[in-house]
Amino acid sequence: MSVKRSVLAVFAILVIAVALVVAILVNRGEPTSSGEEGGIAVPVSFRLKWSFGATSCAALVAKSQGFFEDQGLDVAVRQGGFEYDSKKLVASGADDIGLTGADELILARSNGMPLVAVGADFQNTPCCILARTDSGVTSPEDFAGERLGVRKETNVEYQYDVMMKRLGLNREAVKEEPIKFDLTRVVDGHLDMWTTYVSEKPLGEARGLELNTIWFADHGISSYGNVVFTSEGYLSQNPDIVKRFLAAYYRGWQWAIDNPERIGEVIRQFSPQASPEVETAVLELTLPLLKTEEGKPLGYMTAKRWQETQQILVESGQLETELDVPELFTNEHLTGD
Amino acid sequence: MASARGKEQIRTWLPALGLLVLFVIVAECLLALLRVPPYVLPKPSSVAREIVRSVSGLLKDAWITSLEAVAGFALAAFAGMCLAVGFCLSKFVERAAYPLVIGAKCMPLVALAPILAIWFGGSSLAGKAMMAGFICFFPVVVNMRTGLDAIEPEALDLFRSLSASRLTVLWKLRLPSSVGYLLSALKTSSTLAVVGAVVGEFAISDRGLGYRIVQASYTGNTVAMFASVVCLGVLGVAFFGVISLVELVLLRKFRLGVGMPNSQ
Repeated sequence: MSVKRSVLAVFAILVIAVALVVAILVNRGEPTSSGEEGGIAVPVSFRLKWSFGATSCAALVAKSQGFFEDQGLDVAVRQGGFEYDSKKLVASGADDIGLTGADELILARSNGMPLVAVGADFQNTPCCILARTDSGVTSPEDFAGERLGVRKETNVEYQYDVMMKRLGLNREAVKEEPIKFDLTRVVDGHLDMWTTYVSEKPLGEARGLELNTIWFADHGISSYGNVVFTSEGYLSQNPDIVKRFLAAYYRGWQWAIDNPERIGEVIRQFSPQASPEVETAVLELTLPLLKTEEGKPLGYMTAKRWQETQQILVESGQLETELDVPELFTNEHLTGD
Repeated sequence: MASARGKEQIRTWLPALGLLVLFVIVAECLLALLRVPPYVLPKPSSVAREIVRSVSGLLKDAWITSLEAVAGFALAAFAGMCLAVGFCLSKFVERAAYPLVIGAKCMPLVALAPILAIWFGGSSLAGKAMMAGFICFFPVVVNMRTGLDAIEPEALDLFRSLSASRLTVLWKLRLPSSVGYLLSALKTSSTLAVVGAVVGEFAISDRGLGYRIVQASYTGNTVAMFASVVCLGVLGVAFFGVISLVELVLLRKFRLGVGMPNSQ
């Protein structure tokens, strides 16, 4: 009898412990309180899409040059990655604001995450194919018979797929092989080209490759790239903080546009092993993507481009039901300062 | 006899099934009560619905992962047994190679995965099988080596008194005594082989359950991730069950490894 009671007691304790853990996890999803209190900087956590680098340098610049401080914000800039998915972390409240791909935001919303874009860094897609110049590939019409490394289940693959369909080209005529981020199979000649982002060209050149760029935007693909986003709950409770964050953040981008040669020194403050020359080269390839329409502030978004972004996901089979585009984004918090 | 065996089977499996059902019910109720968003932790019912919805895709990818795990397991079992026998036959080889085997085991798997992908290519089964084999060969080496030495001194004396060669001692005395140890290691390795195959798919692949998990993560589909994770769990249990069944047959029908670990 006493053994049974002990077993029941242990079981009850386990159930209570599990309930407490779940309750803690849920409570971490509550939005942080708004407002600045008596001049004390408001803490904000910002989660990048990947690691510190030139393509996401605005927050690093804003932090190192004191732009966030000027807005009364104490921003913690955190690296993203596979293990630190910015979408899930912002949706759950673990982080306040994040950076992700526009296509990823659409897919996340379609899976129930209440996220909304508040600014677009890349006004068009950074996706491309980089081909070794000795392969002779300069356009999609040259792809047939060539060996292509494909980063699977990422936006580069979806956009490549849709580009080929829209151009009436047969993807099966290309000899495809899945790759990740290591370029060894390109460097050693097993592959002629690979799907990637324009910003990766300097990394390939640093490995001794001479490369042609086949940019998808030149071949009918139109899509936002990286976007700044937050959760609907955080936005509704902290609109002023988001506004101030974006003011400092896009001031950071403007500083990078005006001082590209200094971006290496900024990034090295956060990532000591970064190469200043490579980061400057990456930034110079990235800057044209930030250009908005005449008279519009950095980060400005249009429903047309969001619809085009969503259309690619529909055509590639990633999205079954289209979402209501106005719910995906808002320009209300962009100040253009 | 049959009904007694049936009752024994029920007594074996019922507590585990009962605990699983209880866990599912408690999780379903707690997650509903606390209104935990599905992208944080989906309810078991949502995961079950996703499994039913995607059953053909899950089965196809589970087959790929199974092939990789089985191939790796077979490689590991063969290599591990050969190494263990080699160590038994030559102390010099054992002293030279054992530290290298231990060092290789300590190598982080996630660092090895991209290297194997470069050598074997992203699409090939070989790279993932090598990954699965790498993670699960060490228990086989260690356990079988221990088993080869776990013989009764009197039995060894008897063989020596009859001028039995080293190979005869190995074949007729050491190997039979090591079966229980080997089977114990193979049971451990069976689940590790699944882990290794999935790590390989995480690193680089275009198919398999690990790839499905990466795909679901990219799209923020936590329910689909959990559906794949559940399938991996079932795969691991099934693999373990097969090895356990082999162990049962060998130990009961042929009385191999009697008196050794796990023999009944």
